[in-house]
Amino acid sequence: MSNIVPSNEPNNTSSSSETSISSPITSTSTEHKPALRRNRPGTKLEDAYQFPHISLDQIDSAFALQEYLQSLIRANRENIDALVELPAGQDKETWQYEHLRQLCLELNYLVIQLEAECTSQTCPEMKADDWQYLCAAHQAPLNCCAIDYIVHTLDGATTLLNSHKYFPSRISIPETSLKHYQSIARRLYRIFAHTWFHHREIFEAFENENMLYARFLKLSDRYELIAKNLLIIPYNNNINDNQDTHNNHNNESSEIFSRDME
Amino acid sequence: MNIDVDPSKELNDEVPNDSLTLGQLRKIVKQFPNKQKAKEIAFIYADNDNLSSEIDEFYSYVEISQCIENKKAFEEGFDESWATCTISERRTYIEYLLETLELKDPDKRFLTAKKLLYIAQGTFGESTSPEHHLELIVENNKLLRKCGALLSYFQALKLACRAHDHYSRPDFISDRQAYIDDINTEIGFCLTLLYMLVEVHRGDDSFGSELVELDPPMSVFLFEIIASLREKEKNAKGYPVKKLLLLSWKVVLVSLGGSNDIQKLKDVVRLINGLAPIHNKEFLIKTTPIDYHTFQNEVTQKYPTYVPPPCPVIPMPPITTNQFPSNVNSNDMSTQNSSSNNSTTNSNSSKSRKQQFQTNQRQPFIFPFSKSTPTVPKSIQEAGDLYLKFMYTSLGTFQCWKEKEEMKKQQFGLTNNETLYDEKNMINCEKEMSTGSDMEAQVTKKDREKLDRIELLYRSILPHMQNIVIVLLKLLLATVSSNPNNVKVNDNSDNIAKESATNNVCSSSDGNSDSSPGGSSIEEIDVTRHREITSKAVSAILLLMLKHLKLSHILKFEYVSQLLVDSNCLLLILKMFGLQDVSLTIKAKNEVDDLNFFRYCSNINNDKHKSGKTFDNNLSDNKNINILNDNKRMDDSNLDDNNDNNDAIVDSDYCWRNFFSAINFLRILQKLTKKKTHRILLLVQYKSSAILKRILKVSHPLLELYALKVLKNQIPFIGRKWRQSNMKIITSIYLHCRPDLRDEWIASSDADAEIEDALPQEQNLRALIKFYNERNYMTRDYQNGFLYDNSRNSPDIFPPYHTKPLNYVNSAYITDDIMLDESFLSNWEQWLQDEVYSFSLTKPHLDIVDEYYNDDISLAFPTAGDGSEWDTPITPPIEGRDPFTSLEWENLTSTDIKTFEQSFKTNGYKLSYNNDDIERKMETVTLDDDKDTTYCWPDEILGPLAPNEVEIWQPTPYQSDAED
Repeated sequence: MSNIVPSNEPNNTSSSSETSISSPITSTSTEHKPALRRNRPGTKLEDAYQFPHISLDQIDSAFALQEYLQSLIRANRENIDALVELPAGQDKETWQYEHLRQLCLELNYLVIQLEAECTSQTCPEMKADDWQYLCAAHQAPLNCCAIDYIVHTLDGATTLLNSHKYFPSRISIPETSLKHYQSIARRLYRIFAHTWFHHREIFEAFENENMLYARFLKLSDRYELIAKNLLIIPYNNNINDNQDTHNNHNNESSEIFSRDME
Repeated sequence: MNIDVDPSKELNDEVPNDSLTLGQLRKIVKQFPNKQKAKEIAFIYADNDNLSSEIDEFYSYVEISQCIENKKAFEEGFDESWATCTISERRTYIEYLLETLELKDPDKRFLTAKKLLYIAQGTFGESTSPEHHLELIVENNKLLRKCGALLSYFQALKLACRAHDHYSRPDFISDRQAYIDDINTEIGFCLTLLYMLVEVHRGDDSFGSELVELDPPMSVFLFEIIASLREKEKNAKGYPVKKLLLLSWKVVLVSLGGSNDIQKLKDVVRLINGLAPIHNKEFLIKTTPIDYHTFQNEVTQKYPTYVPPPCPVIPMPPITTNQFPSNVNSNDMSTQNSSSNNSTTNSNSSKSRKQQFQTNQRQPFIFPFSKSTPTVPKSIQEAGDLYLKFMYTSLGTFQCWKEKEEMKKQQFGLTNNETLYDEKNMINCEKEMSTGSDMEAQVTKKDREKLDRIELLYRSILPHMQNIVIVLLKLLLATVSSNPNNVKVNDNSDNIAKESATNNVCSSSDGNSDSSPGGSSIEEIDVTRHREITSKAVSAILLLMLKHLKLSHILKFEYVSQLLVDSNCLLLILKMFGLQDVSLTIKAKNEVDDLNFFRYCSNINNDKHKSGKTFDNNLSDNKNINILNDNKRMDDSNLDDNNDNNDAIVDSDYCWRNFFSAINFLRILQKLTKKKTHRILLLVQYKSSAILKRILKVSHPLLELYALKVLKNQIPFIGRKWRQSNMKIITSIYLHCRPDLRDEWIASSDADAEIEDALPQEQNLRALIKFYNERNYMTRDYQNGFLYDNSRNSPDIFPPYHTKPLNYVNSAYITDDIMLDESFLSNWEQWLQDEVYSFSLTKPHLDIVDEYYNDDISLAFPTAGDGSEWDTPITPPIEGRDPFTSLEWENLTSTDIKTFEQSFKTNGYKLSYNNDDIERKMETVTLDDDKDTTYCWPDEILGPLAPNEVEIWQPTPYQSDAED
């Protein structure tokens, strides 16, 4: 390749790569066509995204990492290890961030599948196995049905990931925002769990096609996003101990101690 | 010209024989053996107590048994030993717990919360000693933080609080109390978890920013909860208020910083504002630009030939904050400008009797003019130079002045580029500013961030500020009023505490059997302790808030202090001091050692085999106490070593929290009243001198200093007799309070003028605060907040000066023409709502006014306040004398408006504030609390004190000193 793009080093100053959006235009003057990886208006579905997979440092874009990840997924979504593996010279944090973004994007496809089957009649409560969750998206605690809960959770995660306050840049992640990864992952996991326990067919069909849960599991395992005992979907060799979950049932009624105000 | 304090030693080599310098006096006093002085108390003021006692105080005795349940719950869910687990195993379990904290089933959540609590409380089952326990607490909470517990806790707290809001809505009927009890328990859990986390990370800056980065910032959220308690009063039973307060205090401390940070930031803010940093911290004597201005006026009157050197930084004093007498008949243009607001109060009649028989001091004196002599006596010139030499422009004065300029610009309709005053001043000022901007480079990003945090906090809680203040004061009131025999109880419990200290067996058995005679006393102690801790938290929150806001902008501070004063904070604090004997309360020990958290936990450990409900006092327990006590002793002895050169024997027997809150309250008093004659007069009226005098019995330099400062403010207004009979106090003020160069506290030259000036001064200050808040904070974001939305076309009968062209009709509404009362001006909306709109079904229409302002009367007013909104008038309109009722709103003509205006001029609203009244009270003080002689508090006031509770303080039996 005759491309003379400076290699994308980690923490390459944000300004330079942020402003390089215009660079594809300049690169059209050279004979380097594939750098312009766009779906032109009018592209047919079967022709869309038919870009060759190129290595990360060849991508000349403000969102190189995202494009690289998507390109990887398109290339082979079954090779999960390769998908999750940190690209050389990249930040662990930014890589996780892109994965979580991608996860949110792709989970939307799952929601579309679920919508047909999971309604407020069939699943009036957000449940996964014995775990039942409270929707955190409302002013007053509200009993959201499962599909609402899923949509709210997905919206919440998307909003958080796109929030300028916590994630002002996609090149470096402020350290204080890292703690959100775990909570996002935990919440997204509930969507998988609900689907697995209550809409097994959809889960399996979706999983066969996308391998999304497998990827998620790998990611969470690789970067310690979710504690092992929280993975309640029995899958592969992931055998969890539900001991504590069951303990929760036979708890004594709680007493009320608080008497703070006269 | 009155410099009664020797300004500097270097300038005074020869001291006249008939006067003493401060230094000489100090020497003399030192020579006397101070036998009458009690042992000095070894209390050292700090932002907070040490970690273990702060944790101890968080748990009240009734709920201490929860610890056992937490332990049980944890052990049922986690079989292994926490201590031997690997970090990753612990993390896994914690993450599992945090996940289950979001479950829907409240019982499961409770159970999880208990398990988490046990971890946060240091898995005390595995601790070997209280010290080890403390280490475990720190270690576990650090781990919890790493696992992202803060987010989960906060999420849980938010959900619980929303649920509480939901259940306490009036339309929620079914079995409310049961729901609320559950929710209260849950809120209690969350607060406890958060408190442990915050307390362990106190002083950790990165944790502070984590708290701020939550959405909303934790401090904002907590203050909003506090504010919401006001509406939910009926449902507040069982709400863990003490925990809420303690947590809010600590969150503010962690996220905004303590007094050290404030000290550091002060210089930074000065830099930002273009003021020189404080060069010499031990600057003994100061003058303010205001003092200098007064001096200039006085001298130029007497010596018209004197040309004073210009004042740096501030060419003119901000009238609102000073005691700048308005009846100085100045020939100086600038004063006429600045005192134009005061022009009504200018009067030549207020000459005191004394002056009639003396030569007029104010008569100009032309110095014999010749080329060889200077134009003024040398001493005058020297005085001017001295003023400049010791000039200190405080941040507050500067900010106030700038805001005043801004306000004037608006009044005169100038745009930002135009200036009001001659170029010279501005150049002067700009020079200062430009040097400032150079220095701004030194301001670090971190400092700015901290200032932004304060700004953010103020901006977000501004709409709730009134409620916050009221709730805090109400809680404070609850700590005093419910038990009139407070002191007695203190005495009792003091004895009990002593007993229990000497006789551990007895007290521990008392602690656990309710039927025994001692059982009730444990409860009593718990209640008193609870009160003490509440009042400690409130005092700390208030003081911290005032300090931080003052740092950010003086008018933010002034706004909060105005709210506090309006809510009777002064009276409340005095009442508190009046009802307790400070010298006793600071030594009161309302503690049952065995029920304190650390002790209790170690007791549980030692009685593992027993049922935890009863425990014996075995030897190891005693050892533990001894260790704790030894530690304390060690600390104390260290202190002693530090103070070795002080011969005074120190007394290490004191109650930290009571001492702390006593000092805080005195500081709040001082902050609220400093240089504000109107409020000082209130203090005088409440006869605070007797109360403060009692505080002076306690021998502690800091406590004394603040009591003396508050006293010093009042001395010009207290009768001469009092001064004569209290020379001891006056001497100690002289010894301990830092004097200013111009300091007329012993005998004010013109107390009458100051009293007369007090009200306009207060009013001007309020106008300025209002202007500041409106200018900076009244934006679209606050539509449902405290003010109507400025951006829409709200009913605007008195529009801002610059918005509309003047013409015949609305020129009648320029305030310069009508002298409307200040309180009315700031509250006309409220007034309209109460007096006009609420009386007619069809809304009156001001046709004429309408034309010009395009009123949108259908716009909903903010819901009518109950008279306690942020801007409630000090005196509500008086029935019958209301000139507006005579108006026919239906067909109003311009002549009507004229007559209305006229009637307003003649019998407009005034504060029922009478100088004669005050004077009479000062001279002939009677102790009746007859409504006529007390300060006229309007009935629907304002603040936590119901009218029947507003009483003039009355001497309690043990008060012996005869007053006046």
